[in-house]
Amino acid sequence: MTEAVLEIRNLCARFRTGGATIEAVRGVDLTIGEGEVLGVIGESGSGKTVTGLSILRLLPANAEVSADVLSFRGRPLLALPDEAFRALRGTHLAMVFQNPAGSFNPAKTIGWHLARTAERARTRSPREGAVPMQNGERRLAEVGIPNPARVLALYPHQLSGGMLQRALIAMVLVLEPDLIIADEPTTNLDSIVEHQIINLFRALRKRTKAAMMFITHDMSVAAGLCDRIAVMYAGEIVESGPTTAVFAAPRHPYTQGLIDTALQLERDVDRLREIPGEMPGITGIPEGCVFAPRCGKATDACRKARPVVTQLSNVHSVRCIHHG
Amino acid sequence: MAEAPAPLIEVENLAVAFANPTHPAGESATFRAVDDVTFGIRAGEVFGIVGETGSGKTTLGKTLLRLYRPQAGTIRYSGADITTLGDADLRPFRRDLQMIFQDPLSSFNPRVRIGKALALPLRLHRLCAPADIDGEVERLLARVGLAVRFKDRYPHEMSGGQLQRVAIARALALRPRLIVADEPVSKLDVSVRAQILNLFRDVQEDTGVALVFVTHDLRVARYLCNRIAVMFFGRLVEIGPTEDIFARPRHPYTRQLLATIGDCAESDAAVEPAPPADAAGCRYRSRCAHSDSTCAQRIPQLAAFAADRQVACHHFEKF
Repeated sequence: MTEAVLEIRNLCARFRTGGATIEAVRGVDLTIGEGEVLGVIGESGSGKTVTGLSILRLLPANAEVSADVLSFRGRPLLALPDEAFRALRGTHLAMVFQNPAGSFNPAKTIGWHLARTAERARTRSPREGAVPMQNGERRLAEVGIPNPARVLALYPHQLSGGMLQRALIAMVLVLEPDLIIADEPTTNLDSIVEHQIINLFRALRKRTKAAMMFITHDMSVAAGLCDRIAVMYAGEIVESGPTTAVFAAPRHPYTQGLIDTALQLERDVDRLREIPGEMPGITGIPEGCVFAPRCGKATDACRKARPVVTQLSNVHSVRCIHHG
Repeated sequence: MAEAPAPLIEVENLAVAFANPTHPAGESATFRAVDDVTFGIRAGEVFGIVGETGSGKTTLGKTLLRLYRPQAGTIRYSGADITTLGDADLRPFRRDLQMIFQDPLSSFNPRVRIGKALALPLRLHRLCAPADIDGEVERLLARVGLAVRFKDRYPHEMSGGQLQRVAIARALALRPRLIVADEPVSKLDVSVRAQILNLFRDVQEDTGVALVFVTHDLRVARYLCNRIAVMFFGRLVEIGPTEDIFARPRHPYTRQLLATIGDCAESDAAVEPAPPADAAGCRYRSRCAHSDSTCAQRIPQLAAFAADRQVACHHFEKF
């Protein structure tokens, strides 16, 4: 792997609510290198979004984030004062949300947004000089927007969700950040548009050296896009490794279940295999292994102590004592 | 499934329109969500209505149950015309026609416990003696894989998957002949989705109820449905047995949808919006690589080209 853009060791995120403290993310380790795409996979409540928001310091005021290491290009992020951090966010660090409309100012045109982004990119590296407006047209064309000259003059509400997500990706291309965190950027889109946006992300990764964290609940989306994946369950990473290795031989029972469900639907099987039960609520995290209540392999040992992370190879790790 | 029995429910030239007050033409302007739709659903079959957001699939599903009143066309249930019946006249049919919604939380009264929510339809339709209602509620809960203790829960005390099970139980309570389920798994977590899809399949096989499954996900439709109808901007563009549609889709839109399954390379250009409903010609033509002057002039009608297969495309022979 090339130099790590983002390195995280033992990230924890807690929320204070009333008298109680809820641990939404516990002991997350991850690293993303230059030009690498890491897929963070999990269902709602797994802590995947909170992980992304913790990195960008976008959690609400009742949240508390701690980590042994949380560094961007070797620079510790937690120690940075808010003002210095804000200068990084939106220039070196960018986020693509599920709902693109929230990332635009509704009173300004698409062209204005692209010009503002270009300005921001210039403040970061002045040597790039002026990025003239006609560039905006080219940028929109690059992300497959038809009739880009017309779209520059439109307001966000005049574009469909898919078109707006494309415009946002165009802004990311203009900004050229070092780290992109994309949180379910295709989840609200129709299947054809979703497919196209995923392909656009694939093209995007060839064009930028940015490290990308792609957060999704969809195994098949991750399979087609990510170099490595990290599977989250109830606030923990239960398995992480190269996408091909994890898909070929998933070692955590939860990963196995997720991959089964995704592949079986694609293959038209007679009957879908089910993962029994449901993910525990955030206040009901069991002692021991978080997946034990739903796991066919669980033994007393699983229910007693939280399993430690086992390194299966220098890139593939799993948090399960029955990984064999 | 038996060979082509008489349709349980049939619609002909169905059109459903909504007022469109934001339209520049003012308040008289309407938007046709369902336009000239003709098809039938057979007793005991699982029928998929597949389409994207805005295709009119939910409106069509709800109109089948007369939750909307259509502007044009007819709906026949078991031979009876229910197109324009008022609420009172519809009541006898309500028992037979049930609905399951996408968001289970908003389809339950937040202040009514689950046991009571399940007992209510039994009581209203006098389906069992008051003394037997408790037993019937427990039987329904067991049927959908829930323990008796859930009777005392409020909807907000349950997960989405558990509530969707209750919604299925409530639909089954009246022993209906047709259930329309509108995207019932799309809001559920991935690891719970398979459980609910299997439950739909088991319940349908046990009871023989006809099931209309409205979904945007072709893979889900393939798993559950005997037949599939593909909808695009208010119109049905293709109908056929599931295997046939997957083996040989004949409408270019169906082909485009199928290409999103698996890892096919497709054009990445953004899709053009469809032309307005009142424009002449095929509504898919702006996206279609095969469109010509015929497509711009005449609306292709849904027509049979083989046994049990219909398509609405001037050029379907090419595919």
